[in-house]
Amino acid sequence: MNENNMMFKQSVFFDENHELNDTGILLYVDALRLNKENELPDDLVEHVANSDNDLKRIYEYYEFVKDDDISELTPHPFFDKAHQANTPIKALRNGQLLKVAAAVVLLLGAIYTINTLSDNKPDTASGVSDKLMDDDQFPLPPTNPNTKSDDGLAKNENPQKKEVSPLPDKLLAFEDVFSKAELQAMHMPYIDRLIERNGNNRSESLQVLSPRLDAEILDQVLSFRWKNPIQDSLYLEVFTKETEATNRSVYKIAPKDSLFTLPTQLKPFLYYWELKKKQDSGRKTLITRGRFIVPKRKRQKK
Amino acid sequence: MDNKKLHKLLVKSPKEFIVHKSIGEVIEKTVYKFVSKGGIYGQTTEDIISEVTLIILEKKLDYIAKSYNPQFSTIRGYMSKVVFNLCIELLRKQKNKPVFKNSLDDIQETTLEQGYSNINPEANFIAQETIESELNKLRNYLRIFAKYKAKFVLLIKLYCRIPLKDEDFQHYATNLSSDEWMFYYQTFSKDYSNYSDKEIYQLIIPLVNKVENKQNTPDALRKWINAKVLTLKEAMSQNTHYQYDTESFKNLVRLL
Repeated sequence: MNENNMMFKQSVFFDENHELNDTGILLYVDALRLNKENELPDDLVEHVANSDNDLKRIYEYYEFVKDDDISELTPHPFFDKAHQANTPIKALRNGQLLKVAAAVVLLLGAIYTINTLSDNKPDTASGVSDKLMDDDQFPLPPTNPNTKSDDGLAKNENPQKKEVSPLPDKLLAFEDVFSKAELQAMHMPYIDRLIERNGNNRSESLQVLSPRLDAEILDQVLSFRWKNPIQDSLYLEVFTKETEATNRSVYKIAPKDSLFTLPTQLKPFLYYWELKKKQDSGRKTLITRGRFIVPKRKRQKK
Repeated sequence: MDNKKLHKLLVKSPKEFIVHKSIGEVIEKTVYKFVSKGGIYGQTTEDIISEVTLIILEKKLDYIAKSYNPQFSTIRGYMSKVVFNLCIELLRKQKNKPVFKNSLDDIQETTLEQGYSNINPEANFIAQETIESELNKLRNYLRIFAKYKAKFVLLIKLYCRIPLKDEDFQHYATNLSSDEWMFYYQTFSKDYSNYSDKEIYQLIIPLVNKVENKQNTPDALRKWINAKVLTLKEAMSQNTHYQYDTESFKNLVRLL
C-alpha cells in the first residue's frame, strides 16, 4: 500500500458522515489549481467521482479561488513533499550538517594555504564561476567592471570578468541596478512555470525569434520578430505583475507581418508577453509566451 | 511568518493567531471576494469581516486548531476555506440563494437581448468570449474527475449523442482489440441520435466493464451518468444568469 492510500485510510479527508471535510476539499482544489489532480490519492478521486455532493462542493470552492495567485500554494505541503524531502538540506540531520560544514571549512583552509604557497592571484577564472554560481534564477545584468579614464577610453580592471558580460562595450552604461529582491518581487511564479513547462513556443509553425527568453531590452524599445507568419491576426499582450489581471497592453498585428515594434517606450521593469491569434470564431488562442526585462538606466559619469 | 510558525501560534496562542496580520489579510481578502461576487448583501464588507472574525474567535478556534493538518495544506489556504464556509453560512441565514455575479453578467444579458446578432461585431466578440468562459467552466469541472475524466467525457458525449472521435476511445480504453475498436468506432462515430438510452448503454456497457474489470448493468451506467449530468448542469447554472436546460447543455458539450 502506498503512502497516499495509508493517509486516506486514516480518514483525514472525511468527516463522520463520510463526506469530504475542509482538508479533503482544500487538497482537491489545490490539486486542480496546481494542475496536479493526477497526483491525488486514488481513493479520494474514486470517492469524489461517485459523490455528487462532494463534486459540487469542490467545484464551488474551485470556482471561488481559481483566479487567485497560485504562488501562495508553493511549496505545497502535500504535493511538494517528495521534492522537499529530497533536497539536500532537508535530508541532512543536524549532526550531518555540522560534519559537512566542518569539511567545507577544512577544504577552504586547504585551498587558501595552497594559494598562498603557490602565490596565485585571486583574479582567476574561479572568480568568473563564482559570479555565475551566485546568480539568482533570473539572470542579472552583469556589473560593469570597466571605469572610464580621463581620456575617455575604457580601462578594464578585470579582464576575466569581461568574458561573461553579454553587453557590448558601448552599452555598458546600463548597470545592474535591480536588486535580487526587486527582481523577485516582479516575478510571477505561476507564469514562470508555464513558460518553463511549455518552452518558449507552443506553435508548430510560427516561431518567435526575438525577444529571447529573459532578454534585456536596453533601449526601452521592444521589437518582436518571428518566422513562418500565419494568416490570422495576431494579438500581442504585454504586462507586468501589476497589470496582468486588469490592464494588459494589447497590440493588434496585421496578418503576415513578421516584425512588430512596440509603439511606446517601456519603463524599467520585468515584463511578460503573450502572443495570441484570433480564430474565425473570434476566440483567442495562445501561441507562445515569454518574459523580458527593461533594466534601470544609469547615466554614464562624465 | 512561515506556515510552521503560524501553525505553532495557532496551537499555543490561538487568540494571537487570529489577530496576526497575515491571517487578518486572509479573512479580509476572502470576505471582499465573496461580497464582490454578490454573495452577501445588506451589510458592509467591514461588518461582515468583523462578524466572521468574531465567530472564528468565539466558536471556531478550537475546531481549527484540532482540524488543521499541516501535511495537506497551508494554514492561510485552510483559513480561507473556513472563512468561505462562514460566508456561506451567513448567506444561508439570509435565506437567499447565492447569486454570484461576474464581470460578464451585464454583457451577457445585453447579448441575449440582441439575440447574438452580427450587427455589432463587438457584441459578437463578447458572445464568443462568453461561450469560451462557459467552456472553460465545463473543462474545469471535468478536471475534477482526474483519472476518470476520459470515462466521463466519453459517456457524456454518448448522453448528448455526439459522434465520438478516435481519441475519445484512445483516452479511455487502451486495451481494445482491433475488432472491438472497429465495432465501437463504426457504431458511435456517425450519427446515432435515433438510438434510445437503453440501446446506447447496452452497446457501451461491455466496453466499460472491460476497462474497469466490473460487471455493471446498462441501467446502472445510465443512472450513474444521469446523476453526474444533473449535478454538472446544476454546477454550470450556478453563479451565472444562465440556467442550462438539456438542449443548451448538449450544445455546450458539442463545443468541447
